[in-house]
Amino acid sequence: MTVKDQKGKVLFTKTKEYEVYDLHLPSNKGGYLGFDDWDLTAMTHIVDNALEPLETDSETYVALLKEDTKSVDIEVSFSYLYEEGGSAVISKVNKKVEFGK
Amino acid sequence: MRFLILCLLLVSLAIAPHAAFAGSANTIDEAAAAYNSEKCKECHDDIHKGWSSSWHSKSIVDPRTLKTFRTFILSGADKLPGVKRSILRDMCLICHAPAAAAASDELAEKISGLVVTAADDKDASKREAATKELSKLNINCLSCHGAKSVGPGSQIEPNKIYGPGKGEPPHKDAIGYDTVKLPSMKTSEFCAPCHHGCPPGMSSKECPTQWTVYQEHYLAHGGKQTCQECHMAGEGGASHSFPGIYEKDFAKTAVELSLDAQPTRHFYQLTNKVVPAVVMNVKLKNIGAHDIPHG
Repeated sequence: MTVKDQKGKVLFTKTKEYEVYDLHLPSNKGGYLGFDDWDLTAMTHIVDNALEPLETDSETYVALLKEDTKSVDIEVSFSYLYEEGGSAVISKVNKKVEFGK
Repeated sequence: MRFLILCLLLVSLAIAPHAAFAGSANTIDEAAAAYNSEKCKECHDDIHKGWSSSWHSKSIVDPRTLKTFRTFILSGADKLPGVKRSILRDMCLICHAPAAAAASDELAEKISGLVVTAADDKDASKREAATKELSKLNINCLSCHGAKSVGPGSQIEPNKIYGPGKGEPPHKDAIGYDTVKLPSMKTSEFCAPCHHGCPPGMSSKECPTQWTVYQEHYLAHGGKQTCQECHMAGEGGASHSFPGIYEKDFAKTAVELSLDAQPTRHFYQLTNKVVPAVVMNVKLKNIGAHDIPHG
């Protein structure tokens, strides 16, 4: 999410990552090396905050602005990281909010 | 390990080495012969084009697949005593290159060697030649339509075409093949053997694959659609391009993103100052059948 003022200056940004990390630990089946590296069942979910099917994630943010702010342009995008250095925007929403009207 | 990067490939890996699938084919052409699908495109040009753009059409030669197999061979097979490179056939190629099931142990080791060459060789012409040779083993029409099932245990049946039962063309007259109605081709279970990769009964928590996640995170929560209804939608419900998360237009269909933003004011009570503020609520709904990132 990015919030910019009427001059295009970035006032607020926020990023949320959905990710799954599976790692091999010494305590895992068979240790580190060999075919365990290819064994999904020998991995430990260190981080699993994937968004499951039919689930909705909702986040609320408040951006405090300067007194002379007339309007802000908000852009929210959902990107998918396909590989290191290779992400793509899958969906994007823009909204303009005006003050003093 | 970054799971999302590997998951597409890992799902088709079996967890423990299967019984060896040693066949008798000593050349790639020999192994691929039973899967020759050249005749299919003469009548099914649109479907052939769809398949050509699919990941199935590069199931062994996609660069990411090649590199993953390369690592499997060099860091797995080559380092363990008593393990031969032919294990690639038994663990991976049963799904990634069904025709390789017919490979003799010697040919299976040669195929593994070609994978390493295609992924790593410094000489571009050697990489290209190895890739071209391996591409004969990619999943094609008969990988799915030539047997009653796919994946481990699947056996191609000569001169038979299996179809889901929607106006089968006259295969008998055209190419001498019997057409056999196979309603299970419309079910998710048909795809499962290759998009699963876990021992039976293993949960998504222990083994998150496309299949376990689909079952436990989608069907169990009210999801109704089959693999085919999403991944073969379009072209009258028979798209063979099998779009997935890597196709951005298709990926878009898996999420709903919304933003509500309202102007407000914030009162700094210590400084008696009021400033404008904006309250923003973002909602992201996963309307697909797999986790994001998917398992």
